[in-house]
Amino acid sequence: MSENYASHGAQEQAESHAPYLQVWAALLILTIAEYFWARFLAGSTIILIAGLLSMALVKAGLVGYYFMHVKYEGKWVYLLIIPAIFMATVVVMGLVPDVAFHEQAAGVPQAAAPLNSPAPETLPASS
Amino acid sequence: MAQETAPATKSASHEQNAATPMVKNPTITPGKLAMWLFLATEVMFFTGLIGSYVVMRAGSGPKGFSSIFSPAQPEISEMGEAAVGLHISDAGPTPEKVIALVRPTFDKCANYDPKDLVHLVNEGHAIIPGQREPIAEELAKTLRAAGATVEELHQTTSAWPKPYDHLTNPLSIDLTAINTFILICSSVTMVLALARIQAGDRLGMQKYLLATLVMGGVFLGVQVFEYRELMKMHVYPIGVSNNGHFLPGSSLFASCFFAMTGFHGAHVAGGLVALAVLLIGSLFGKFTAADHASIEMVGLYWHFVDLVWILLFTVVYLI
Repeated sequence: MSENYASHGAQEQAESHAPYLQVWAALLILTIAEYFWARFLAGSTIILIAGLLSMALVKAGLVGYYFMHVKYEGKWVYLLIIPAIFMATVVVMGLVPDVAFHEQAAGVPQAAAPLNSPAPETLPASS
Repeated sequence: MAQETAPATKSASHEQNAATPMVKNPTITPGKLAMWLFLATEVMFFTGLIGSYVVMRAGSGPKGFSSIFSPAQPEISEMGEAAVGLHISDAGPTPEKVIALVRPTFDKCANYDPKDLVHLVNEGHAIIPGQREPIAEELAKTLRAAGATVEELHQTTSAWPKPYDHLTNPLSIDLTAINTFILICSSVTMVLALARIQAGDRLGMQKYLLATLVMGGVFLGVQVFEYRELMKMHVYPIGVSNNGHFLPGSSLFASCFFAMTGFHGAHVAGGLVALAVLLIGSLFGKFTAADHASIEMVGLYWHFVDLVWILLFTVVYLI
């Protein structure tokens, strides 16, 4: 009990020394960077998306790691976060073939395609 | 001599340990575990919204949005590059005559309220819906004869409204960027409120809690203002909406936008209620250095709401 109290006190002391204002400054800089990145790279799709998503993920990571105190918690937090993120990724990836690539979905009549058009590069729809 | 140095060394190492304490076996309270479990479910909730948005956008046809037709109209593909719209940048000395000349085209292709049409023409943002080039040229000649300044617009299409494209995308990125920063600042004040009560400073905690509440309220207020502008106060070109107002039914983009930001706004509102309860409780002396678990729990929720907005703002507004 006293050991837990001591470690709880040590944990809170560590948290109170966290660099909150430095993190705030980093978030400000990244927000400004995102704004100008989007404004001046509007025409370049891949560079735009890659840059913006990278900056957004860094910002989200800073908020999670320092403000939500993931840095000071035990490994158990990752036991909750990682499966949720994994399932989230799998759900979106699972929808991509049906919704994002719907032209190749099963049920599209092959007779509708012109005879003189080249064969599609994707695999044929499964029956 | 050795005895004189030993205490100095011991005191130096003691000071170092106080400055950077080692953390062993952090406390897992039931409340903290429950809050993290809830946040894991919130990850799935917002994934459903943001993931659906990403997937639907990726699956949108290349000509869903046009500069001179309302969203998802068959004419976008049927007429293609042959479609020409007109931009009236100045209605001239007789705007009522100009409005009367363009009304038949709007009545055929759109659903603008007459008052909104007047507003659109007078403001110099009127985009006359696309027609075949000879018809558009004839109308342009008639409008110029009535004193209007008119330029022809050849159709440009996209799979999804692009940021900063005022012909298809009504969202105000500048205002929302500032609003995003306000929410980030509220997250900073929230964690500082926790740091203050951990140090036993109740007054400091109350000040930071109040600052968090105020900034969260400002964020929500700006969102409500933006909704009002989009849905009612502003009249947008035909490429944004069939009736000039950006409503959930205007397009797939509109529907997604309102679903995502609406649910996020509801989460912010819930957080504000929780923050208000904490502030009122603190005024009655509820929280101390030894007992402040609720501050930490609500803080976790508030930071998560901020984190979600960081991702939402990037995906919906900037990409």
